Amino acid sequence: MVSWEELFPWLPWLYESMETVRDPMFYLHTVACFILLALAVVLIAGREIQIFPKPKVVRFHYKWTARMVALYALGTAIGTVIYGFGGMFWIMPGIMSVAFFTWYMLWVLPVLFGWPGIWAAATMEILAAVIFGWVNVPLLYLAFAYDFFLGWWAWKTVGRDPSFRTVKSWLLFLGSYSVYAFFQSFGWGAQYVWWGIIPLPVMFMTRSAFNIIWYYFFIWIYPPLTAVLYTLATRYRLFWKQIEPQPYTRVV
Amino acid sequence: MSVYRLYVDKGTFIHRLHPIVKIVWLFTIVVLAWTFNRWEYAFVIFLWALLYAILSRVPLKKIFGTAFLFVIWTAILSIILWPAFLRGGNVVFEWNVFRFTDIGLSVGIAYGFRIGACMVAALGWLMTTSQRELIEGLADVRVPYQFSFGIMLALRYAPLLLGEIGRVREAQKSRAFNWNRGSVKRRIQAFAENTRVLVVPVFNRMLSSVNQIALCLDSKGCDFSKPPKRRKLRFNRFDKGFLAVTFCVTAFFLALRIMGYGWITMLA
Repeated sequence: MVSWEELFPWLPWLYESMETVRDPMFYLHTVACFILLALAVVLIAGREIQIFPKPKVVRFHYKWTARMVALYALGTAIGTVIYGFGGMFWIMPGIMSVAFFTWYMLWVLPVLFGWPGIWAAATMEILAAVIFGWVNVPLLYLAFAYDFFLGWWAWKTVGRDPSFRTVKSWLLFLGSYSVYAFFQSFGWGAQYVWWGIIPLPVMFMTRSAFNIIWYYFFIWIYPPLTAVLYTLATRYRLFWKQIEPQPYTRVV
Repeated sequence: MSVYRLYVDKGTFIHRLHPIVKIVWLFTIVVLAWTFNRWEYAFVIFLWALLYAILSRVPLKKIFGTAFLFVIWTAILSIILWPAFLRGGNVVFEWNVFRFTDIGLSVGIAYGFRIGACMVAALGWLMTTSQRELIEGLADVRVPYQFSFGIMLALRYAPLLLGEIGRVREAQKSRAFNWNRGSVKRRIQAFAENTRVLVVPVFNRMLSSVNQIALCLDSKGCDFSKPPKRRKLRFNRFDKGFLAVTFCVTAFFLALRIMGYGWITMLA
């Protein structure tokens, strides 16, 4: 009879190493989730935190035009279809999957389309979960803490220049994506543990480490695909800066 | 253009229920499905979700035709993989490196029923709720008009998108592009190539349709800053009765869970 340990002798060492950082990571992401959720609520309320040149909370508003609603619907539909039918390889149903196209959509929709994309990222997560049966209670608020708020984060950073033709564009992407992937891969697991969906020992770190490996492994897909989609979006005048009337205005 | 919709008009009392009642019912199924991890209890919740579909007389073939393979695949993976992580409890049987314990097996089987219940409930809900009712229901729970309209549009978009993907795939096949043939290396290369030859044309077509749809909405005078007037739906006695039964059943199962039934502490 062969045991797991005989088959993979490095497995116990790996588990032990991961388990040593389990508790700090778990509590860090438990707190981070509620901070991100609070920031998402602030955004939904029409306020955002400005850091430069002077830190303060500023009001903003945007008008929903027919193009924005059509873009929102398109983004939601694409995300929902990809969630169920393409690019999703379940390792453990409802818990672990290699879903790089879904992850990519959650990131690229806000980057290219701005607010319709940010809302579409959160909606597609919930709608797809409802249709395909993965819906659970934490997902309803995690979609806003992570997909919505981190979508806004991606838009605010990479969305300034997603052409990938300048050094600035690449630096923005690398910096922004590292933070994005870190929170996206660990944050969900912490809440799943609180809701009893997965156990804290072994599974929290296994799931999170598994996710982050794939998030960073598929980083090479992002720049070329985004550059192509950016070209298409600008061609149809659907890049967020081109949607008229200007969808994003700060109130002075 | 592929025309596909989930709504099946059978005219039963389930179809005539107030949209809010259906949304509440769906939400209670989701809560109940994730309340238990013992397979017996999860199975009962699955049957409770199935009862709605049976009462509404929507063809079960359509529900299971859409979701059957997905649920079976989910169940098989859950039964094999959950025991690999949950190794606590009494060993039921061992095979090579796999050790199946009673806890691991129960949680694994329960997962299949949990996901099956959510899927049957969601498909049942979509098959008994027309798009107009969907918008009205979402508006009644204070979802802003642009989102309820957008979600309705997305549900119409999704089948069109699938049709577009199919058409582009056929077009690529007719040019002798097939990523399911050849060596593993060739398949990986073809898969990467697939991203380019599939994603770009599909996006191209969909983005062009966004402008067309926006033009249509503008020409019909859609103004998303103020929601249109809509008919007011009232709760009738069927709605109240169905809601009462839903709440009673939910309260009963939640009480069971609070008393400690239906839950196994997951030991890794």
